[in-house]
Amino acid sequence: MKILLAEDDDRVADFIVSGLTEGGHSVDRVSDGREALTYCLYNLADLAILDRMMPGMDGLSVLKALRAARNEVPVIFLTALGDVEERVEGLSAGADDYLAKPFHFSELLARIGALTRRRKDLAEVTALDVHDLHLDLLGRTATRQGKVIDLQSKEFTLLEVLMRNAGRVVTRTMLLERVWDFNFEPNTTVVETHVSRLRAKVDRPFDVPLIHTLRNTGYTMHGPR
Amino acid sequence: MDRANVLSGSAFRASLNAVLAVMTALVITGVAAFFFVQKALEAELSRQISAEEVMLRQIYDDGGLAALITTINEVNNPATPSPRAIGLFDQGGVRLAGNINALPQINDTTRLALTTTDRLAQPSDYFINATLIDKETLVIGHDLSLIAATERTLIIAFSIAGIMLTAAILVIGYTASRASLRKLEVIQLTMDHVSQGDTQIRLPVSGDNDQIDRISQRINRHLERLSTLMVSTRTTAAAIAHDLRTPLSRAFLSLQDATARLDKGQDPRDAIENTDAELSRLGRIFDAILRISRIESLGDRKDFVPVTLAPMLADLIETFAPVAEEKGQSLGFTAAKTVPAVSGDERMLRQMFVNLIQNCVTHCPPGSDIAVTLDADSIGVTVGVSDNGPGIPEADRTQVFEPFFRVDGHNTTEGSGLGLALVRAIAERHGAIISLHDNAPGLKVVLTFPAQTSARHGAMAPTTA
Repeated sequence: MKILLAEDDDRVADFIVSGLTEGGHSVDRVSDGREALTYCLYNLADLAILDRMMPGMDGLSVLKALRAARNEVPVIFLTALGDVEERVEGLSAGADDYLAKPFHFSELLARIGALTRRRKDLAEVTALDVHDLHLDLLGRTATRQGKVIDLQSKEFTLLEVLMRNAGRVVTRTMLLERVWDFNFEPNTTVVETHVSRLRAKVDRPFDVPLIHTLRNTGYTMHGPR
Repeated sequence: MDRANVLSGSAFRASLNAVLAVMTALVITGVAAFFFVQKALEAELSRQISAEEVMLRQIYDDGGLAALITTINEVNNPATPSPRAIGLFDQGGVRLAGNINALPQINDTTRLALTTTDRLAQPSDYFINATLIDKETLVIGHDLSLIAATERTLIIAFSIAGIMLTAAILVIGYTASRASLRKLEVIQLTMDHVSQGDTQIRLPVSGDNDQIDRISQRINRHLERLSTLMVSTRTTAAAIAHDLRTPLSRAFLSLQDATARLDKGQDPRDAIENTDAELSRLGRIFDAILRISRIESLGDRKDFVPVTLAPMLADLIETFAPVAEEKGQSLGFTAAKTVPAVSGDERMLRQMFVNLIQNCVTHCPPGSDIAVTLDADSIGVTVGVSDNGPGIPEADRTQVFEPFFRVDGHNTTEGSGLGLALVRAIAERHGAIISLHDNAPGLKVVLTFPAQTSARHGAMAPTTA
């Protein structure tokens, strides 16, 4: 995948570029807002990672200019401006995701993965399947091996988010944002508790586990490999 | 004191305007009085002259010309100069009697300069009237010196009044301006001290209770608040530094541990993960501090929308009930049937309730019951979060909302010490009142949102009960 990174801090940029290159992506880096805009207008990138505070032109203006020019390249903000209002501002300007610094690289990778996948199947889905687990989004029911699994509404949403990203990593923070709409870190084990309850219903009665924990990163769902 | 500053003071400028106004009024009344007095005196003279004419005509009618001439000569005794001028002239203008030297060219009452036999030296101003008695002309006049004297007196009196008033007003203006300037200079000096960091200095307030004194009192109140804020900022800054040092030093230790393990050929992963965890904790503290200051500094509430609390709270209970259960606690929710929406920011409110619920879950031992209630009455919408855990000693209840405050013995527990500070910031922004109550045993936090109509009446300070 071809990724544009607009980041004025050299150390952060080097870290991201080497990490993404290692992950098999081709990364072009610019350190100035105007260069980022020009790059996106004249090159076909699969994804742009924009800092918000950059010399030349701030990231938000770059994004607004891109969207005004009907350029729909997926954009992730990666910025120290991590407050709720700033996040809302970025997302409503047309960003596809928003990640506050400081960040874990695994978090960025997971978001890139989720984003490219979300972009691919924009078509409305009414049902999701992972191995022998079937999730009916219209009837809001889950069945596995023909047995109906009784889920509470939060558990259903949690399962839906995991299944939509089947095969990809979903981090704790992503779950907090997408299942609970928490843009803050709770000091209790909300995510862990709910995942463990979900597991007890979805995985434990069956022979093959589908929900997998990735240490220090998050969760992923997939069938036997 | 610079005289130019005094003269440019508003009090002095006002007095200049007052002088202008007083002088204008004085000139107008002066001119009016002058003409009024003049007309009144002239009318009186004219009346006297007419009376004399009537009398002389009577004498003529009774005794003829000879009697008239005799009477005039008797009346006009040259030995005693009188203010009166009188003359009887025949058709040819030859004087028959009286002291007027020559027949003046007049035919009605007027002012005229005449020379008389008893005052030969100078012609003086007379108010005269001429009338025909048969074929002779009778001229009677009265000296105008009395009127002139009265007029002079009037002009002098008004001039003196004008000069005195002007002087008095200017002196008052100058004194007032000087007094205000002196006070303003003291204010300036005091503010200079304040800007140099002296928070103890206050403005003197005189007993005059004038505008400047009232402003001084207000400035003093602001200074009071400013110094309180500065003290609390210093304390908060110290608390922040202290609280950040703990995770920072732990991170350092873990990193050194990791290096040591590498040297020994061991796996440093655990130590690095510890470092990561401590740094994440640091990040969360930063986030919370930024969020509190951001919420406190937000100005208007234009982004507020009606928020129905019942579904939000039900959602949070569903989220946290399993967490409480894991700790062996119960978390319940009861809501009144119809509860009006409150005006607010949904994300902020959610975080506030999360903090309150988490606070109970974190600080209560296993077996505790946590109850969330939602009620509405005429005052507003009330949310109660209560537990039967250890509670908070009454003495600490006001302080728990201060950043980094921890109830004694809880220093080691989870949390940044910022949770309730954030709760207070969000509540204040929503104009909600927080109060802490003894749940006997345990703690009950009550949040009262104002009824929608009064939602904009500003924030209330948290109180304890």
